[in-house]
Amino acid sequence: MKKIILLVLVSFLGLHLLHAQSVVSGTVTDDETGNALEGVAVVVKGTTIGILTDDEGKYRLQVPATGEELEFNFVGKLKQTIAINGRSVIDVKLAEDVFQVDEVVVTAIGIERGKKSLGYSVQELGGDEIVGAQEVNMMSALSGKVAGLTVTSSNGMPGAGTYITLRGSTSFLDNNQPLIVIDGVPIDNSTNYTGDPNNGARNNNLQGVTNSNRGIDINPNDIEDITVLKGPAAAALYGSRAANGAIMITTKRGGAQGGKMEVGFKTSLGFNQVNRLPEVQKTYAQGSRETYNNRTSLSWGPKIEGLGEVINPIGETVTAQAYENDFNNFFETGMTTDNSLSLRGGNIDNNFYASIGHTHQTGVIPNTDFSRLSVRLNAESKVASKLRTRISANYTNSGGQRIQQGSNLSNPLFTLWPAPATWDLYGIPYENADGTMNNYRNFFDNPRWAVEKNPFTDDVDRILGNFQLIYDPTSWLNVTYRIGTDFYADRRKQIQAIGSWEANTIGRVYEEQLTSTEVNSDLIVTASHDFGDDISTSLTVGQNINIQNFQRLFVQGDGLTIPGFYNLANATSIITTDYVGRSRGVSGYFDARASYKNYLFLSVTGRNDWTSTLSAENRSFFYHSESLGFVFTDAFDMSQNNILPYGKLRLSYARTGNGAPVYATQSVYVPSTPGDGWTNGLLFPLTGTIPGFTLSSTVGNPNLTPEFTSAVEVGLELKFLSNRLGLDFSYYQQTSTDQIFSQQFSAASGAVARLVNAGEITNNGFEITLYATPVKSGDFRWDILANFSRNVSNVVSIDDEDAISQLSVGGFTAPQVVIAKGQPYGAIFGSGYLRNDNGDIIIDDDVNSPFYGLPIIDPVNKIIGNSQPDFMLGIRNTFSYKGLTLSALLDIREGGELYGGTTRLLRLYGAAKETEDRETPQVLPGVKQSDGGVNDIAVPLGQTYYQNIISNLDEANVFETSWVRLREISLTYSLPANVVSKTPFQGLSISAAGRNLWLSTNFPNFDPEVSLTGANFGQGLEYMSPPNTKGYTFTVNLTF
Amino acid sequence: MLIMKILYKLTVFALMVSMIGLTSCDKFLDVNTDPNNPTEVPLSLLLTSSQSYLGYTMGGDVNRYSGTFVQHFAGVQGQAQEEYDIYNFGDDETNNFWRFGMYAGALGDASLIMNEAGANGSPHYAGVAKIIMAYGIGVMADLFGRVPYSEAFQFSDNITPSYDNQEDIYNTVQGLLDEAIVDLGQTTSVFSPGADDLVYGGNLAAWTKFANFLKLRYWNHTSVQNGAASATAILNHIDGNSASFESIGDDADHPFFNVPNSGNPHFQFEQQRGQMAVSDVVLDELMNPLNDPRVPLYANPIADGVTYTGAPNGTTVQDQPHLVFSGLGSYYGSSASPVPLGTFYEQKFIEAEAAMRAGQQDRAYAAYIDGIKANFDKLGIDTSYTDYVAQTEVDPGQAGLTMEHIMTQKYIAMFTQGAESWTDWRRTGIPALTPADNNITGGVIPVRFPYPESEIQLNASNVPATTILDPTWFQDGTED
Repeated sequence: MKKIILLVLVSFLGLHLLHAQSVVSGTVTDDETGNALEGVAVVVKGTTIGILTDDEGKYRLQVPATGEELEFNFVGKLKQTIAINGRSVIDVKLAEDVFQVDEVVVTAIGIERGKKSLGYSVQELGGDEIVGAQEVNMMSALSGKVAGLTVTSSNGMPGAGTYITLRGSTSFLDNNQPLIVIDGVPIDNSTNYTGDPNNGARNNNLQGVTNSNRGIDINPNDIEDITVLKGPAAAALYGSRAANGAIMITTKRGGAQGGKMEVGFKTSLGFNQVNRLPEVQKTYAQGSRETYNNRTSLSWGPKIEGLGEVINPIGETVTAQAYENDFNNFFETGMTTDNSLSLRGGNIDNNFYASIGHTHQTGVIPNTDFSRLSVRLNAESKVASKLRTRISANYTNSGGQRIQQGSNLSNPLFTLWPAPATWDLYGIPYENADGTMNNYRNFFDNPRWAVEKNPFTDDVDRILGNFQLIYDPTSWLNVTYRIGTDFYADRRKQIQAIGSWEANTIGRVYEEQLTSTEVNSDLIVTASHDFGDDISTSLTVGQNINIQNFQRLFVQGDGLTIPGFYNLANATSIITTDYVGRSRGVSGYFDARASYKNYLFLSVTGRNDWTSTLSAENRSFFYHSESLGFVFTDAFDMSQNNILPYGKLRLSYARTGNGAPVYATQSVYVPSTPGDGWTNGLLFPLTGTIPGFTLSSTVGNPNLTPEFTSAVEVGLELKFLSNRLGLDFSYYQQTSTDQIFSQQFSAASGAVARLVNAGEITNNGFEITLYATPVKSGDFRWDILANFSRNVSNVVSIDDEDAISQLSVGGFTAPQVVIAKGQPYGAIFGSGYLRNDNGDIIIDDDVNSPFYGLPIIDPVNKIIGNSQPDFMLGIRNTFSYKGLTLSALLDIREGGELYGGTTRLLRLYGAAKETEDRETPQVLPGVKQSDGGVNDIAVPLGQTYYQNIISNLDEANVFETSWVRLREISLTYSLPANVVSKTPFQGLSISAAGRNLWLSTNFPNFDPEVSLTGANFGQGLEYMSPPNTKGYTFTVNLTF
Repeated sequence: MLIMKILYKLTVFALMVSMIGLTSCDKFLDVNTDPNNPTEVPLSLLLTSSQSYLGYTMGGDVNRYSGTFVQHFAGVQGQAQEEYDIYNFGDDETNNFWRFGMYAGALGDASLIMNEAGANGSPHYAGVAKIIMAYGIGVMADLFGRVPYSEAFQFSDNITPSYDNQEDIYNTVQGLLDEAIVDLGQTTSVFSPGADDLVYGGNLAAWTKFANFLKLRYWNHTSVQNGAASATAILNHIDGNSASFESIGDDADHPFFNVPNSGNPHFQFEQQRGQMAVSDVVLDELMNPLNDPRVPLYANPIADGVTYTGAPNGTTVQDQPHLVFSGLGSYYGSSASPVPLGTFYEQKFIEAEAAMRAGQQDRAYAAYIDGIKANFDKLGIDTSYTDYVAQTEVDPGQAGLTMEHIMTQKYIAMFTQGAESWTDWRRTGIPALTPADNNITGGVIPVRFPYPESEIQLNASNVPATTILDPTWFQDGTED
């Protein structure tokens, strides 16, 4: 990271040589260790003349007659300014910048600024933090490391998508994820669903495969560092696209090696296993009401012991027995290999970084994998004395093979977890000689069949390109032009063999091709001027053009005739959908900054967007931000104070706008899709020949205007005791209004929804980052870094008339995830217990009722939970001794609920371990319906209880997800320099690491860190989702 | 020089970029016209759409729920067994067909055709659309009681339409049908339905007959409240000049096809869910004892390949593969089976019932026998008809004929047309049904559908507060 920032600094100074009058040389060393410092920028003050020190710390610089002082700059060291006074040799010792007052961070639009001057909260992460997480998906690697960032992985499948939010959700129906920016250019992090577009994104998310978020295409090994811009103020210059904050990724560059080539090679091998398996009962046979039945999904049959001879589900007479059916026989140990080779070379003017990386991961479910090949070249060249170029090109190929998940008849877990104990899961072949399937029930695939016969594959080719010209005509003016593209083509294919239930046993194959193109062009001009010694000012003016094109071509062939031939030509019915989405935006922006005596910093930004997605009358909108940074320790001369030498107050206000989805301003007709909730229904053209169109159930609205979020943030940074202890605190209040959402209304109007602007949601919260070095003694050092955050959201109103109490954002009819008035974002809505005014559960005490002694279900659905956590805490402890480093990241999440759809089904089917005690009469807590007295009725909790009550009681299947987990633990050994110097290498380190090795939670049966709807905004549901994993990774890192 | 060239090019490029952004900004941004979906479509596409929504909904959700209450079917798995077969029938079950099948589907499309056809001088389309509207809104009133119509179909202009009384809806149905008959009789129409008309292929005379048939059906629905007047209206209308159905060739059948994604809703439910079996009322009580030759068409044999056994309503036995209880047979349950919307045999039974109520025993008897015959003809088993009616339980002679005979034979003939059978049962109590075992309503069979959750949430101020045990107006004369 240091090298990059240094380069940036040097770049801005615009170093070049002039005809000189005298020569100054010397050596720069580290004040503490005495070691030579390589790459220190030595500049003649007030000019752009300078040079970098070589690997022995030496420099030699020609100084013009006007030159009076030399500046020595090195990241992490305090800047020194030394008067030349006619000397020709000046040796310098640079002291550590304990308080990092000169630290530079990447802010919006890629503008680098001193962190000291910022009036809003940012947080930085080194690339090693990302790589160290052992995650293939870099978004997952952010878990627990940034205060205010919520990371939700879909599940433990290879390539599974990850959903992230910063400071809660600000938009009812937009996806609410922060903008991802690589080297100044925004990239696409969408999670594109799979399946028939006419089936709707929502349905496809409930029942398709687990798709990747496109951020997975980034090779973590290329990341130099990440800056997280958390609030609207930080991201204001990005405008509408960063209304939810931004994650700024800077990739590695070459150049600081003093002309030498550095070769890095990293190889790692990892193993993954399911981290938690459900417990099932082995006492009772397949059947219902204590009667054996060999075609039912239920395990409510008689006791297996003593049952004797029965006919098994494939018609053989066998003696009933409880088969082990060990889930571990189904799952495999997944393996991850990651190899990357990088080259860095060149000098300050002309340099490059090149890398090639390959990752391959096999999943814990058979026949699943994900791989990624990434090639990157970053190069920089000084084409003229005042003009530099930077180019960056990255090609990625990613994809793999996935299985069906969620509410899907070919989801293997549907018949794996609840397989009856009397069904010989592994002993009976899943396929007969004639190609038909064996299973213990109809309408769902045998799990072993499902993983063999229904592969989904995706294959993504992606190119990220970035070209920059940086022109410094004078010392006070900089002109930068940057154009970047992000292009990918995603080819997907789903096969469903003849006999598989998801395709109604007639076979299906579909092909889907997605292409996405985004182009961003930015022209940025920055001028700076100092007024005397005390006041510095600068003004940045910029212009952005954004073009986005997306195309989805979907072709589904149903009714295959030749078994095993998976080509559309083999289908008897073809359905095609062709979708194109286009949007464009033009923006102008400015950022005006002023500082007083380097302790008071003021920044004002403004941006006007013109977007294609709103009508011509409404497409132009302006927003702005103001921020103030006040380093009070400098203002009050406290910097020599030993206890509190550094303290800063931050204050900011921002307002950002957000445009509309494409094509929302008009009503259109769409192919008809008659159907119902139970069947696939009809697809038009009927029989492939008869067309039919209907008015889209959501009607357009030409009067849409942008949605706005305004935010106030106050912050405090304190550094104590030579920076052995530090604190960064932020408090924010965000109010989002004029939400664009699909307002559902009475279908009797002829349609079911229209897009409107209405509603208000607030997010208030605070974040604390605390770091400490409790022990620093000789070679031993102990560091602690803790990130705490709490966000409370509140849906103030949904529509202006206050007629709508809630909106669905995902899930089933019940339960579903909703935005409900007066509730935090993402409430879970479904059936609950009938309760009295005290909140006691009411028990049916009518002796004639079939549900005597059992709870009563409230006939009116209600809010039964919320997926939002109360707080999140990540604590990293790092112990280092000489070359040995032990680091552990503990991830704590408190509160937040999840609908345990799998647990519900295991109960309904009588497979869950808790259903084993089904004969003992028990008294359930509650009060009797007739007289309100405390319940004293003892009844067995058997099939009636679980099938008729619990399985219909969504509330009984919503569980708190609170967890404490050991997210990461690693032990790294780096060979000491004196040993390495005797080898051909410059550096050598080995490490062993574990991921998710320990988990403590009250959530039943599974790891709650899963999400049915994947990287999508409707969080809070789990339904036969693939399980999560834990892993071990061994890595060797070499540089030479 | 090189530097100057680069600088020059850069400046020109930056200027060009600015030009695009600022001077021709509007043109650059005018890309928000949806290229994927049309903003206007011809009437023909809307008509196909409207019919297919109606046909699929009538054969799908509407039939499954009402057909289970009236015991054509019994649930043997999943929600069909654990929810609606035991009357645990919640407001989430009616959401889908109310919203997407009917109001924003078949009827929304029909209302657009009515508006558009009126504006562009195509009364033939308007007439067909009015019949679909009358059909759909009539069914909705049958199922729910009060439903929105007079303030409905105004799209964004009225998102909380009020509810009309069931009696008013029935009058609206008659009015729409009268208007449709006039529209269809117009000699000029800019556009007229053709192959896009899935039901009649553009045969306007057939549509007129269907409209007249529906008038009979809806007069008949008011039999309890309007008594003799409804019977007189029916008989007079048949006797008058208005042509209603004259043979099974006039039947309104919605076609489906033996092609994936184009199949019959019963077939799809069997194929994809298998949660329902034919009920024991249909098979074991009414059909098997009389060796009814329709049985192998209505049902499939159980595991032994020969026996037809119906499932008792409220059974706890799970039988998705239909090994214990008979599943739906090929006549109504094949991929290409049509869904009947109105038939000549139904008309004959309506006539028989009206005549019986009007005291015209001879006419009732003739229509009754014709009704049975028409049903056998329709099923293509006219050769077995003679043996079947030779049984006195079927043909008691003119003098012996009772309403019980008429409504029981109508019930058998109307198998899979649950909505109409359920209305008949709610009007006449025939056949006598025993509430499902394990029911949760204290032994009462539901007499209306619950208003959908979407109306309760989104149209709260208008939606009536009712339960599934409150009779609608046609039963008890009160609107609620």
